[in-house]
Amino acid sequence: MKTLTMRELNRKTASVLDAVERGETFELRRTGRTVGYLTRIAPAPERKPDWKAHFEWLRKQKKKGGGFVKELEEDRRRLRDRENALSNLA
Amino acid sequence: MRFCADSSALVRLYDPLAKPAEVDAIREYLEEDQKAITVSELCRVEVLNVLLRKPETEAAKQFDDDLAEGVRLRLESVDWPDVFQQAESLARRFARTLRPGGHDLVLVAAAVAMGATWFLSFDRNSRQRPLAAAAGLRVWPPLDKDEKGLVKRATRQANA
Repeated sequence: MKTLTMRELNRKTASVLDAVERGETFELRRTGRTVGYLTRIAPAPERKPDWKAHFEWLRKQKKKGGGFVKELEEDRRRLRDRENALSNLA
Repeated sequence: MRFCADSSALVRLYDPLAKPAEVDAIREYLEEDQKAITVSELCRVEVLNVLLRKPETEAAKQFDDDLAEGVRLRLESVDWPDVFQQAESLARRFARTLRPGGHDLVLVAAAVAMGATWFLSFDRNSRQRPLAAAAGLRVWPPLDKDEKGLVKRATRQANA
């Protein structure tokens, strides 16, 4: 994350806002102290994550099948094989 | 504290056939302090690509809904040129000792760029977890003895 002083923000407001629009986040400092962040992301919602409800949902999905962990592991195994083959060429 | 998840942790949240012991561990971990998970755009695509293979399940829709709601999962944009630079820096420091995969370098670099404190990963088939620890992230589930040894050796060599 890039840091930004108040003076830099005053001088380069337009380019900083362009960067924020592109997805960059800045730590804003005044007299060496962090006062806040400039980011495209909205502040975290007040609501707390309800994981209990999520895992209840997951439990109810058993009949519908899954196997996604195996699918991902297979994808990554193929990636590793490809990189190993490249490594053997080097 | 910011918790960033690798795809290997995220898919376990949507796979009803995942190992019950692992699902229980994740549930306990996330319910404690009601943690929210930060997700990179790269992880989002990787997970979605897997979940969409079985459209008869509601997994992909649920994942998308959770990201849109932004309470349990929070999608975070990063500056990808910065991430690739960070990935290169990790490669220069740890390629010799850890021999990480290119994909893992980018995933870990994205977590670092997002300001993560914790990296949640179940990928024990690669060097992703030791790489994350060497990059300064705390890893959950905790590293085993061999992984810790790798991190120690990699860090020592990188600092030499």
